[in-house]
Amino acid sequence: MNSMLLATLFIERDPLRWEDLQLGILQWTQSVGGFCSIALILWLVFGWRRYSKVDRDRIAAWKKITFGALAGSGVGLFLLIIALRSTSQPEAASRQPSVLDVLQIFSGLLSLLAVLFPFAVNAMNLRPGRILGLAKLSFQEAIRRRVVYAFGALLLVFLFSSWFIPYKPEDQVRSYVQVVYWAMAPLFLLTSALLAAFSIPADIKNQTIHTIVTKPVERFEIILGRFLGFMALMTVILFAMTAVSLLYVVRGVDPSAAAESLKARVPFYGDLSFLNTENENRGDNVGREWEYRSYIAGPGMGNRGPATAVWTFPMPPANLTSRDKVRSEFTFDIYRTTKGRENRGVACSFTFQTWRFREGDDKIYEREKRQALSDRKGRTDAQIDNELAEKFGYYVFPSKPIFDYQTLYLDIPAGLFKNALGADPQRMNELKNSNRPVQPLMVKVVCLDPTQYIGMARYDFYFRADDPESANEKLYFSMNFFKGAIGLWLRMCLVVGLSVCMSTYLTGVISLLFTLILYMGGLVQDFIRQVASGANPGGGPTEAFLRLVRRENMASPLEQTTANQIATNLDKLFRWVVSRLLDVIPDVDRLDFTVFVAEGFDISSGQIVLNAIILVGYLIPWAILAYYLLKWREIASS
Amino acid sequence: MSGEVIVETRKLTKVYRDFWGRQKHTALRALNLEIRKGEIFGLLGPNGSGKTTTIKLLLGLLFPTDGEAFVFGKPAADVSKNERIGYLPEESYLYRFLNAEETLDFYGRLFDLDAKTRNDRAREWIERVGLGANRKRILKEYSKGMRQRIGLAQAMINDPDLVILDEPTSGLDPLGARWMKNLIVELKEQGKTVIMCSHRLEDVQDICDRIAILNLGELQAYGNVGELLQDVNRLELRASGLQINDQLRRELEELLHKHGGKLDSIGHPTTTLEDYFLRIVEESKAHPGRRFIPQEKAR
Repeated sequence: MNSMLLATLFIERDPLRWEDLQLGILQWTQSVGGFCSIALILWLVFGWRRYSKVDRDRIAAWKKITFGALAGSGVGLFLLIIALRSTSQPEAASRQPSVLDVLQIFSGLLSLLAVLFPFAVNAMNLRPGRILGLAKLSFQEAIRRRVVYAFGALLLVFLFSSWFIPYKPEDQVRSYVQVVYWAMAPLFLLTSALLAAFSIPADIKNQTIHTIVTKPVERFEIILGRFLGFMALMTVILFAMTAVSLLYVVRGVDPSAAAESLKARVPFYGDLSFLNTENENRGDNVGREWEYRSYIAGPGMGNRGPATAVWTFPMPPANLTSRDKVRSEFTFDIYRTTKGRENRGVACSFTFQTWRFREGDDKIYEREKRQALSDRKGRTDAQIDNELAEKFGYYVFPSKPIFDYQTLYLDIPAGLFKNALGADPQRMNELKNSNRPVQPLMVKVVCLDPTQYIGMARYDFYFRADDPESANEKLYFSMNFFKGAIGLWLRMCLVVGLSVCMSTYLTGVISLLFTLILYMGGLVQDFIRQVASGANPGGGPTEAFLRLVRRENMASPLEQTTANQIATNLDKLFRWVVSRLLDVIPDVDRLDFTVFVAEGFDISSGQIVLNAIILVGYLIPWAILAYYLLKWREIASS
Repeated sequence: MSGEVIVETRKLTKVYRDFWGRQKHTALRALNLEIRKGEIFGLLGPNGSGKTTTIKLLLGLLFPTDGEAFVFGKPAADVSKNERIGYLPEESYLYRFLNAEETLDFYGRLFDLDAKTRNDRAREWIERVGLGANRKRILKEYSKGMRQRIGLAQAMINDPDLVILDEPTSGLDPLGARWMKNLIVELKEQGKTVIMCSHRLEDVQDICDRIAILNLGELQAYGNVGELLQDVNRLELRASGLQINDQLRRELEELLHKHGGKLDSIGHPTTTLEDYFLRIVEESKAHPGRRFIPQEKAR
């Protein structure tokens, strides 16, 4: 039996993919554009009339026309959509955007451009020299106020954490990585937030800002300068602390812990579907409260055929074919209906096949394999498996015992991947003519143990795109450790960006509180999303209150009374407000890569870039808001 | 002094409002001013008269409730006008964690000056304001007068055409105040326009060409200093080589009476305390070790 690993990565939310970006941009335009439309309406009602006739006349005609056309059409469309939506029947949920959705995106885009227009005109006056000057000032300010000393607190973690953290030898690195990141995160985030939230308000209070805004400084340069200065400082400190933390994590590490955890696996994931279970997307429900996994039953349970979990992979990367074998790793959960045998796992079979495999070829494969084993011609088992896998696009591992809480692996002949990547126009035509999808690589898992269930989720099975026997695993782990710090860096960007933006209008304390509330809202975003969609048990606050007062079960349906009707409608309004709130809450969870480092999984560059793009998308509206708040603010009246 | 108007306000009004937009206090009411190129213009008035509000409106630190303000022909809210302005606030609000060199380098960057110009001007002005020996000390360690000097240097780093000084002699000792006044006159000689606010009326009288007196946000007087201060109902006679005696007094009274006037007072003129103080300090430099010993009272 292959040795077992403890590394288990639970991915409850699908990682971002480049394909999601287009839809994300459209949704972003729709949401941000909606806010821009509301802001434009408020400005037209309250702001425009504050401009004197002379001021209005002084604005260049082309600017007035451009802004007017963008704002007028954006707001006009926005109002039209509201009117249409309020009169039309709600549409059934569909993946295809409706005409109103498209109009809303277009209206959002126009309003966004209208709001961005003065900002863009003004942006032409920005000078890098001034921004760098302000950034340098922020950097010097933080250094001279001895902010760096705060990070000495990490020394306590390095010195004493091992006294308090219990760990099994093979779990040592995992525990240390988590402790180090959990210690670094609040320290860095709180320090960044404090620095950024109090800088501009302190400048205003001390009136030092008077000597800045009376120079030819654009107000947005102050925001950018502050942001970049603090980020530069925090980046330097983070880099240094990450290097020290890495030394702490890898120093004197137990050999079993090193073998288990000093890795940066590069997983190659597929999509999971099921055969002969309740439905194609889910396996059977065994009643576990955590619905991360669904289950396939062993033989003889139910009257369907053998329950099968099927992973469908896209075309594998070509570098896999350069090896003799490719490792697949998996972590399954066992749900026992009987005790079973002590110290023996639950057996499963694994069948691997490529898109070139034809039904019925398995029999020929078995026959040829028997022949090859009886007439080896100097070939090893692995060589025979490799040849046959390449020839048929098929490989079977008939029985593999599964254990709870363990990550197990199988080495698969690389010939299978060569087969998948090979050209086969005839087979391609066959699939096309029979209207069947081309599924480059499939893995079918069947539970062989009667009376037992095996639970699995999409990310429980993967191929290692990296070489598991590489001599450079420690180096890859170290690089991954720094990539994990990029997650913290992105969160610092978020906190500093939010704090600076808030502080253009609010006091330091209120800016800090606001930032922390938004950040913490991001930590419980899933719950807020449940509340917004009405998926949480017990209904909204009014319904929950009624149930509480009446001592009603939260699962039982409400009676159709007037009071209940009012409560339900109030909750609908509440949910609408919460849904809007969701638009302003940052997606903090995605920026935390700690678990990947701790469990020894590579953080792909794509993930980092996509998350960075989303972060920029989140901060842009705040930056625009900050630009207008500081521009319209009477600095000397505070 | 040319006739070119550098600063112009038309019915400039500033009303402070509370959170609900209700009128709280009218700081400035319909101010009309014109300040011309190359003059030293003084803004006078008691506390709360609207002097600083006027300056803040000109600098774009406040927005007018009504009326308009133009500097170099541009609206006061236009940031680009600041390229040609140097501003010294009442208190020297600078970053106290920076030293003199860093301070001037920072403000030089805000004008997008290249490194060489920044260095040259910083060196020049640090010497000129007499802080050469303290260039590496952080501003936190500076006295109020020293901060006022470095504040002036930051205001001059861009070689401005218009210098706005809010209480420029505040915090300076008499030597420093004299130096500041000389510098302001020097700036005028270089063709720069200076606007200054001050409570020290003698300073204003000494150096300003024109003044505006504000009270309760309204313009009370406005014009050339010499013309405004001229008292046509009184006559001043100065003479030297004489001592006062009864005969002289009598003869002068008769002469003035003959011409329809009367003698109000006669006596030796006194110098100003400032001049006296400066003379004493200069003498002490010329005679080191000399000191004043009070005479003992007669026993």
